Amino acid sequence: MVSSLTINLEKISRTVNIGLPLLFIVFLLVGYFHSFYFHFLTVTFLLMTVINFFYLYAQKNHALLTNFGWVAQVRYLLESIGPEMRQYFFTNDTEERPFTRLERAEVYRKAKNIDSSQAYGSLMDFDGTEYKLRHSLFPMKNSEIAPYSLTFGEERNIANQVTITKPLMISAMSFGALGSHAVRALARGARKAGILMNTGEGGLPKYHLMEGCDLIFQMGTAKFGCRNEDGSLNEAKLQEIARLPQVKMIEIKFSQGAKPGKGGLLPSEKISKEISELRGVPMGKDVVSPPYHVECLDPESTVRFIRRVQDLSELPVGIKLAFGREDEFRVLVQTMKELDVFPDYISIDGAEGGTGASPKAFMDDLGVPILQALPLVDRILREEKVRDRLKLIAAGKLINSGRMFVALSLGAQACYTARGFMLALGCIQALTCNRNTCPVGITTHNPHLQKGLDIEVKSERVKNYVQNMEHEYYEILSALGKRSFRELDTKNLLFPTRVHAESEL
Amino acid sequence: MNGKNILLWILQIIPAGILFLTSYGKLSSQPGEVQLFTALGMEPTGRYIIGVVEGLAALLFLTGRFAATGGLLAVGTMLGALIAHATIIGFDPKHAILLSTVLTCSLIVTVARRRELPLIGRTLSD
Repeated sequence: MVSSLTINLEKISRTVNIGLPLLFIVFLLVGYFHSFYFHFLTVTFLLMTVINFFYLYAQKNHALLTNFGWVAQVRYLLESIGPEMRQYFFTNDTEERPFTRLERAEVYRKAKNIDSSQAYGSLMDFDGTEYKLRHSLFPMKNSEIAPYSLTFGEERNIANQVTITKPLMISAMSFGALGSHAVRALARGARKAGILMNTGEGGLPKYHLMEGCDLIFQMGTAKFGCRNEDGSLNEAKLQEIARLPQVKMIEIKFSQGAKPGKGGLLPSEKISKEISELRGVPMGKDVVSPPYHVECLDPESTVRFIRRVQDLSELPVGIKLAFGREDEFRVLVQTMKELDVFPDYISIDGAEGGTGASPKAFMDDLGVPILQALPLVDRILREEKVRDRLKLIAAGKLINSGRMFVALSLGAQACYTARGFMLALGCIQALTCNRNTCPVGITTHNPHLQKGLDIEVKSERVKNYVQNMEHEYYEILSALGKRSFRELDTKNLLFPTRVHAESEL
Repeated sequence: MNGKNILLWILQIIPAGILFLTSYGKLSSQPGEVQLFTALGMEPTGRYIIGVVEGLAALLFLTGRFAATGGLLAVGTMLGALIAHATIIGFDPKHAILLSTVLTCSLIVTVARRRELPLIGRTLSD
């Protein structure tokens, strides 16, 4: 059907293409015979005519510009402000990704200590597409609920065991991915809140160490901070880091949910002189970590490497991985059994996990989401009868207590979140983490942008976020009728209809 | 900094220097400028406007990041000056040299850094 309102772009562009040089001539004459002021327009239309000529006859990259000239430019201008228009005006409160406005607002309110109660009813879906928690007819009295406690390293009975008292930790974000202000605000907040913070794979955690919080040192595949020239482990450097009093655990990162099978990536825009020195990498080039540890080529060498790091560091040592194939994971667990070597924890990073920079295909299409991965990992560990030999940590969009409880009910014993804490710092989800232009100064090294991130103020927000989450944990636990976190299991969950239909859970 | 960048910076500093001087001349109402703008029928408003635009273009040249924008402003101003000299004032050697120097340098900088122009920059690749 042809609408009478259809805009004939070709006709409009033809008019504009002829009109621009004509207007130039008209204003040239008016400027000459009437007032020289008109030459402001003469010059403007002359420049527009030249640029239009370039669009129409010189450039070959944009078909729209070749066909329509300046008129097509309107499309590019509108397209460039599309994300902001959608975010501010058109996308509803439950639509945005990765986090909806409702999810973000919940974290903001917790971080600012503002009451998060709402009126009238939930805005979420109740059509069987989401996990829900099943409450009990008989809520537990608060006084009867045991406080949360989880000890890493107890299975091996090592001297340097680490006990956490909140099931929430700051997930891996390196200095590099984050600017120094953000790292320090998180570290100070972690100290105030009494939680552990993961350093990310950025090498010696200089800014992480400044604020006195307890740290998990992450060793990525490039082993920044403890690498030899050939990418292998420098034992002396690792021991040096492990001896730092603030470093409580070591985490060997094998893969990441947002880019499974690929190494870390730090875009060249974000490599300052300081980062280049800290990591020992050149400036002006993207830093791409290798996809695997040179020591880990098969299950046996991987398990032996874990043991080596445990022996060297004398600390609890965990591994982080994005869950992929069940058969491979089972073989890895069986190898652990054979060699009687287990990491002190396994952190499973869901495919929906965040990243500072990753190829789109890896973000969108690779890896298993956390709520699907957790029950599989938990089942394999139980079937191999080694569930009690290690702890399980979950990560992947676990920014609110409800989703964390789903993860805890599916087998996790603690949760990591990175973006939850970024939101607590004031992240507005501008999605520019890879460009060094973060408008709120979190994922940038630009001092002008970091100026707005006040370390003291934001560290309070981090503390508030943790405290309000903790308060909610115990309220939910009470509603579920549980005496402790250990009692959580899949009976607490109402599975989405499609998952229920497809799995044997 | 590579050779091309050094050359572009030289081509930014030269017109920036000239534009600062001509801008100062206009904004401080030097007799030559007043006479010129009187002939154009733009005295004093036009003189102040052009003085501010020239000063702004000179500053933008020196920011590096917005040099292309400064270049485009300078090209526009010099085209206006060209029209003025061609249609009303006539050419004298001093003005002709200054004008052609600024116009040439600004054109080269604008074309070389065209991708850095706000809004339209990304559509100006070959």
